[in-house]
Amino acid sequence: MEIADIENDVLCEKIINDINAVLTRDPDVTSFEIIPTLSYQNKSPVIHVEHNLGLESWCAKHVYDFSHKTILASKLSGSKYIYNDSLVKYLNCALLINPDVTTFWHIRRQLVEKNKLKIQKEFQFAALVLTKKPKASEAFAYRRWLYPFQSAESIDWSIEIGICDRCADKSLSNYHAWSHRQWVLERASHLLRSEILHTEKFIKKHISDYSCYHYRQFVLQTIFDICYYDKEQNEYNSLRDFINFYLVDGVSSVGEIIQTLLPNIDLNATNEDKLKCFLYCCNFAAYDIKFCDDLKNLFGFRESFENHRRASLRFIVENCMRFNSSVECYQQPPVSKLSKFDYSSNAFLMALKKSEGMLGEQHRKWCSLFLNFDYSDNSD
Amino acid sequence: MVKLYALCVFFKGPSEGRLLKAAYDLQSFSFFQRGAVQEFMGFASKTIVERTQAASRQSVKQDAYMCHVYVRADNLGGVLIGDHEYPQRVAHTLLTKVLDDFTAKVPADQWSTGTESSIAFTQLPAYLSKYQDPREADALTKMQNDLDETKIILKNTIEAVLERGEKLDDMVIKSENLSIQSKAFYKTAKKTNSCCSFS
Repeated sequence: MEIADIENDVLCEKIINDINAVLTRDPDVTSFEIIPTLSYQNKSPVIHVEHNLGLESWCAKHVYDFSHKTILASKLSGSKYIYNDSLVKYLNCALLINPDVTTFWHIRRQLVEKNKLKIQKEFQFAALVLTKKPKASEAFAYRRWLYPFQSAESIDWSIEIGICDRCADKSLSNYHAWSHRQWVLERASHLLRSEILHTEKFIKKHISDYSCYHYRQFVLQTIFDICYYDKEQNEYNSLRDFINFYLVDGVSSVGEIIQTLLPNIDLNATNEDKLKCFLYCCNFAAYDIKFCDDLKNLFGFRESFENHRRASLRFIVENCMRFNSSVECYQQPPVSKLSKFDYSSNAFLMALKKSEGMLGEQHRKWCSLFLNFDYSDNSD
Repeated sequence: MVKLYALCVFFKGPSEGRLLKAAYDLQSFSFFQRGAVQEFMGFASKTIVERTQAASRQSVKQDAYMCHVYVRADNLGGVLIGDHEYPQRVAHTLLTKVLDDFTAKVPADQWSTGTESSIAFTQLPAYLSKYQDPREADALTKMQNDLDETKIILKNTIEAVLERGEKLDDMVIKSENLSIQSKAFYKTAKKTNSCCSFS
């Protein structure tokens, strides 16, 4: 080995020790990033200010190469994957600089299974990696893998939601953050209500990021699937306004709303929870249609407004059709099977069909494809 | 994103733009970038004010950012940096309002000699945080119609605002207001072809 190489290795080893010293000394490190620097300066490239950790860019490549080399050498020589504890410091540096190496995360998993790493520390480390790369899918996957080691009562899912929120805020269309959030929501249905508010707030700040709209549709569908509704809520103002937009003879009471949306229903034979959930969800969707219209007025045309409006409209129409055709709607037949549905018996859907049909050729085509509206006879 | 990052008030003197007051909201940038981002936004604001004629408005696009500038006939100028989703009319209405407020609180004889520390005008941070949500401007939107008939000139890059022969790269290198650290950020960002996004 040449002298330059040895010097390089010694330097890297020192930098790696510096980074790990910060990680040990300060358990509350909140962010990591690579700081662009033009050239090597004769001072430590590890910068630690107010719980933020930075590494100067000139050494990142060398530190990564060295860590990578050391870990792989240990993996190859190590008798049956028995890693020594000092390996962790190389893993920390390598993954902070480049979080996309599955092998390295996998070594961490093995160390956790051998009780060589503390679960709580590992959660923190994965969160730290996400501050450097908000789209690091491996870090999200690692967090999901860690959860079964936690006892159920010690889990605070809102922390996980917070991490997703920050990551999505930092990078547009962050698929990994939003699908991680769906995974969280599937385990924490008590957060559904607050997610309605969170997503609205997020959309107002990121009007073109469709990922969030899609997640909001997922929230709505989940609410519907678990038959949730707000027991306090007795008014459905958004839904009422939505109906009154289409109908000349407006509705005002809840009874009238039900009568309009579900004219064939026998109230005595209907599951009350199911009906209330239906009203709650349709009210939510009607609120979103109004929300999209307001956004469009303020910001002008965006594809995301249009798509979300359609998704909300589709939710209402599909579920009206389903509810009307089968009162016991536990199995949901796809809308194509409902093509025989005779919406001429439903004055509201007729009016909606007519009104939506006037919003341009493209929208009309969408309505006939996805809502099964038949515009072939131009009498409407 | 719908976001505002910086709001500055300048006096456009005969030779250069004089910064009278500035406010920044840079929480969305990572910790070690904030200093450099702030310097750049200050630098860009000053550069654009100096190249905007009195009694005119411009909106200059630079990567993910939009710099809205309004220089009044009396050479008082305001610059608002946001992202391109922030409604342009609201931005310009806000600038009008801020400059009116500034004029009411700071006598005109202080403008040509004032500095950030000597000028007593502390409203900028409040404006910046309140108008993060353009809906706040609903009261203002009624004013929009009254927005003076000054046409807003749209420019697609800062380069388009510069005078003939000027180059942004040269200006960055020469600038004494930018630290070595900020220049390093500029070069790196430029290399990754995402200038000023610093990510």
